[in-house]
Amino acid sequence: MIKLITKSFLLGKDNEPDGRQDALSVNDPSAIYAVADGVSNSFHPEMVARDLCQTFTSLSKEGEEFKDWNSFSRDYLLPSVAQNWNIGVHNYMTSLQGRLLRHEKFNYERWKFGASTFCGVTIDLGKGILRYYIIGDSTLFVMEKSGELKEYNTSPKMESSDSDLVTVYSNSTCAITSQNHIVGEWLIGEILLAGVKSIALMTDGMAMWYQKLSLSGEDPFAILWNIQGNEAFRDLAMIERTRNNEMDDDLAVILIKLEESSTETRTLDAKIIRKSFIYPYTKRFVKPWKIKRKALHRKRIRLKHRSYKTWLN
Amino acid sequence: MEYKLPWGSTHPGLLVYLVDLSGSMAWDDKIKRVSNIIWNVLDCLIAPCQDMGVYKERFHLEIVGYNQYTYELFSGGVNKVLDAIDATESNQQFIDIEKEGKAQGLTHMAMAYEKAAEIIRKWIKEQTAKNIPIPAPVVINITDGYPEEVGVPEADSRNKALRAARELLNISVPDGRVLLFNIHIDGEAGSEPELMFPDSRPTDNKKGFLFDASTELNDIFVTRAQRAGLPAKPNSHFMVSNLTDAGLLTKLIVFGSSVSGLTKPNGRCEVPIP
Repeated sequence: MIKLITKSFLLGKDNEPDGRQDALSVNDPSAIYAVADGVSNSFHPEMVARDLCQTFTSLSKEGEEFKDWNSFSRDYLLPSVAQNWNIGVHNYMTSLQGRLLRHEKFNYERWKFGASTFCGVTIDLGKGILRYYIIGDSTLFVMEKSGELKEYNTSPKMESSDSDLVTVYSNSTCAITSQNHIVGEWLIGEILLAGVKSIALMTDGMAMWYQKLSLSGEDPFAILWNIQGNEAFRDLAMIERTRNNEMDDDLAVILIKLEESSTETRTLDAKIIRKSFIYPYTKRFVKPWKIKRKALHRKRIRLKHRSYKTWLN
Repeated sequence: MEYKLPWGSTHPGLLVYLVDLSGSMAWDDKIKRVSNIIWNVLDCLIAPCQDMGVYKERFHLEIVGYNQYTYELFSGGVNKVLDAIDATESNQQFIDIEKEGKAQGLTHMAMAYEKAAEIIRKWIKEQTAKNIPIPAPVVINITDGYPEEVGVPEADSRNKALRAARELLNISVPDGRVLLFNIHIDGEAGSEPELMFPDSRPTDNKKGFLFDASTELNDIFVTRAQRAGLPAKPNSHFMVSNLTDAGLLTKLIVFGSSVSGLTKPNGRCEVPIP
């Protein structure tokens, strides 16, 4: 049986804890995860990024949305993003006055829309499948047990020195816009979990660094996994920014480790242990997780000693 | 690759305006119009520096006035520009034209270019010492005349200014060489034809000087200029001569100030506009 262990980090370009224009959302009970990166040459792209993440992770995994994603995107998601962005911008602009209002009017007239990339996954442990829904250069990295690392996004690829196809991160990307419009096409697919060791979703600021380290033979997943706390992640980002000119962007990353579970009780079939941090976007999911944890706690007493230790770890 | 480093709070850009304060700039209120245009330009340039209500220090501005002397009219970052804009909102005059911005004297353009070079070298030294990447500095010269020095023949003044301009243009950082844009304004509409972004050296000595003293636009800048509605072509130099329209002057200064570095606030994630 596979169990998921997750970890996530969010940091703005100037160390803003809310990620500035990046967003992420973690729904551990449903195993739905999303990151999004607001596009800079647009107006208040963070509204689009956050809306996408929240909407995606609040969907029901058994719902029709995931079965026909393109139709759902066209008929519901894009119009919803457009409506929410317009409302958000209107509310924001009416709260302003003076110089800031004047400048935001400049910026609104210059761009007229918001836009964001997106990378979302749903994990069905019962069927052993991961499904991904990606637009733009936010990236899904899948490390297989064989040691092969695969990148999934809609950016152009080139051959590396090892003849692997790697993403060319550039200033141009596909995205969802707030004009009920998508630039580019969705990348949708599924991966069998049986051969997967770990999964990482991240926006391009992280992905460039992740790709670079992977290509040089290092293990960026392990580096991130071993970080304890937001402050340590910020320290890593600051070192990379000043010394190596890396991570010079907003950063959002969700790490998911797949491990074989040794227990056979039903409650542990899909055991999800969350080592992450409370973000505004995931607060709504804390309660159901806590309820499940209480249930697990009662059952823990009945588990064997070895299984209890496994649960704690 | 050149001119790829965006202006950002961790690596701010350097913008230098050279403003002609020779006596002819007092005619027809030219200096007053230029001061007002600079106010509006800066108000426009700092708008994208605002991020979630906070103005980020994405560039440093130096304004140098010149006639037969040079005057430091302004030096500071985005927040200091903001303070100056707020303080002058009632009259929208960025330069105090009654005091240090008073127009009088001749046009020692060589001195202005040398001053710009001094400012840029100092900036490079300071930023390098702090290990801060440096976007290619931008210099915009706004003048209504041509090099003219006391007791020096016109051609010699031009040659001296050209040498100083070339020395300025030769200053480079990893992101690229200094970008030098020369904008010549004319107080009398229709007195001479406008010349914008020539792709070959004009035969006229004065316009030829401006051409030689200006950066040649690369393909990306040409594309951006065309998108901004400006008549740039491959091999165009950023020079404009005999400009009379205030709106166009505003547009040119905004374009020149933002063509490299401020176009994409964090340099990433540009959605291709269909």
